[in-house]
Amino acid sequence: MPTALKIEDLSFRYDRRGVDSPPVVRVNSFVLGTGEMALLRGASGSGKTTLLSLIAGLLNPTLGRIWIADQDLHALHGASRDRFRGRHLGVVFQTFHLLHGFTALENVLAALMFSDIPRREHDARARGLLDRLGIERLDARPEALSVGQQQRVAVARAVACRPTLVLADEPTASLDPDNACVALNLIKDACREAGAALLCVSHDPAAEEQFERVEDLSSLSGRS
Amino acid sequence: MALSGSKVVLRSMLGRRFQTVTTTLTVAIAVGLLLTILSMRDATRQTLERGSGNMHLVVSAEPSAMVSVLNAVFHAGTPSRALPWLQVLQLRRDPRVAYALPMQQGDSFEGYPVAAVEPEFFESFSPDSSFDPASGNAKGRWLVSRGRNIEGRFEVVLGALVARESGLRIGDTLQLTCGLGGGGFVHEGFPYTIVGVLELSGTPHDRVIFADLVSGWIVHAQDKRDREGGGAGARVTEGDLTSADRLVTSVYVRGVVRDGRQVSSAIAELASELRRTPSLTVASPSAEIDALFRIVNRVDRILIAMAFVVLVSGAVSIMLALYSAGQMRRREVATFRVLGASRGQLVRWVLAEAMALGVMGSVVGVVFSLAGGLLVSAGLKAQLGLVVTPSVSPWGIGVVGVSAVLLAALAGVAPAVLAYRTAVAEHLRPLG
Repeated sequence: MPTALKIEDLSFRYDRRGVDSPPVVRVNSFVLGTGEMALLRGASGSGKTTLLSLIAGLLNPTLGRIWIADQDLHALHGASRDRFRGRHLGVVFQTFHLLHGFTALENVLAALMFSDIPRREHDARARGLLDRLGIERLDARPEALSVGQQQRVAVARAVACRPTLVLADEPTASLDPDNACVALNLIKDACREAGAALLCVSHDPAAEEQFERVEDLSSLSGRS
Repeated sequence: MALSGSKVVLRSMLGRRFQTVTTTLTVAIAVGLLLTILSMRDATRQTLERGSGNMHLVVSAEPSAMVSVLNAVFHAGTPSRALPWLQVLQLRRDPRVAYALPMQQGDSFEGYPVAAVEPEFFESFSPDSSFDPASGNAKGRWLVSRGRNIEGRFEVVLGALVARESGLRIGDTLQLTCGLGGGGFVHEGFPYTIVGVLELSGTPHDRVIFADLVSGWIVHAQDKRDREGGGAGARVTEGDLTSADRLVTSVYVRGVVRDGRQVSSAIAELASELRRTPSLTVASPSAEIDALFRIVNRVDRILIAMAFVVLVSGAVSIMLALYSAGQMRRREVATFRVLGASRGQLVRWVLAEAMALGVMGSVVGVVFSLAGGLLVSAGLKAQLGLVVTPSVSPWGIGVVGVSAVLLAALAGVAPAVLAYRTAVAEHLRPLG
């Protein structure tokens, strides 16, 4: 089975000089197939966000390797890794991190800037995505949109580059249970439509019901 | 339309309009100041050099050569001492002298200085230094654009700017006032008639009213007789004039030159001889203008240094604006990194923004310099009668503009480093 994400013997600890700090993240083995969706649960402070940063190539592991679309991510350096991230990864943040000063449409176009999708297709793709996700005010700035609309723009931005893998970091943390369910379905539908695998990290028990595959971060490290 | 790096930079600038405008203005003021100083310096020099026209020396009784040139050529003030007519005659008899043109100054009309000259003045003197009256070639001769030259008593011709600004017309009459300032004694009973308007020469002479010299002697002789007689005496005529009445305040002297040359070899020798007479001040306008510029250049250098300081402060304000924006928007920078922007791209955007501020400041600065040039030129015209046409050379614009943009780019380095070093994972958390 082709894999979207493969992790082997991953360990990460913060480099504090003179202090032998324990690993923040340890994953013995984890594989996510193409188009597969999984929830990674863990308590607050268990290293979920750090793991996502490692998978996104924003941090370098102390030990171990991560493959995305069969590419050893940390074998790439500098701009090559940035380019790879722009083409293969989408990220949905808990607080969306939309670009202020940019319109809803431009936020999606910003993700397309770094993709390998031809520039002439950017506008139509961004408009199409926002249309499918129910955003009508394409020229509205993020601050003029409701929380739900901002999340839809964030989802559209995450899948805009036709990524191999979408990472969702606590996407339901600030939502009530009803809206959390709607938001997760939105993300899953968008990933399914884009053919992207989804790795969602959350400590919300209600989110577990939305995924067929649920992994516990502590069990991945063999500490359970 | 796809998003581009330039649009990201534009959005960033529009996102903090106030800082963008103030920073641009700071750069613009510095660029404008620099260009104004440079352009006015060159233009003023050209104008000053043009003022002395085709004469070689100014002979007067002024206390210094500089004052002599400022009063006789630039009509900046009232001469304090006079020369006897005999001096003019002696100069005219000298075979080395091509012309010796007497001038009497000290009167004015509504603030415009009056220079009393002989009608022959306009046949010999020209603001065009290439005009040689002895050559028989009329090219460069100072002509009237309307009316005619002075031919008889109590006639005047107007400098081109006097005609343009005062509303005076040919056929109008005017009465002269003693002194250059307002509120002086009016020479009543001696109306002068305007008979012509001179061509625009681009020199201080354009804001001068040229009157008949003998008429000036009559007017002043009448005043003298009236004062001495304790009231209105008999009307003075040309025949009543004594040698004591025939005074001049300066003499424009041109040496004999060989065909096709503008410099007289004998004039230095003549000047040297004249300087032996203690009552005479012999001034070479070109030498005095050089001396004037040596003084002005010192002030220029200070002003240019100040403008560079303002330019550097503009660059510092660019750095502060971008650095503080960078500090506030590290999460946005981190978001761009997550989307796939490389550190290099972020550095390029920050530097591009800094350079864009430099370019905008330079463009606005050029506009400022044109406006500043017009203001300074209006001031020079009003205060000194100098008609200076400010022009910014493409070379000057290029050097100052490129300097401003390079300084701006340099100012963008620290904010660019800040963006480069933004720790992405750190600035995207806490996520709540």
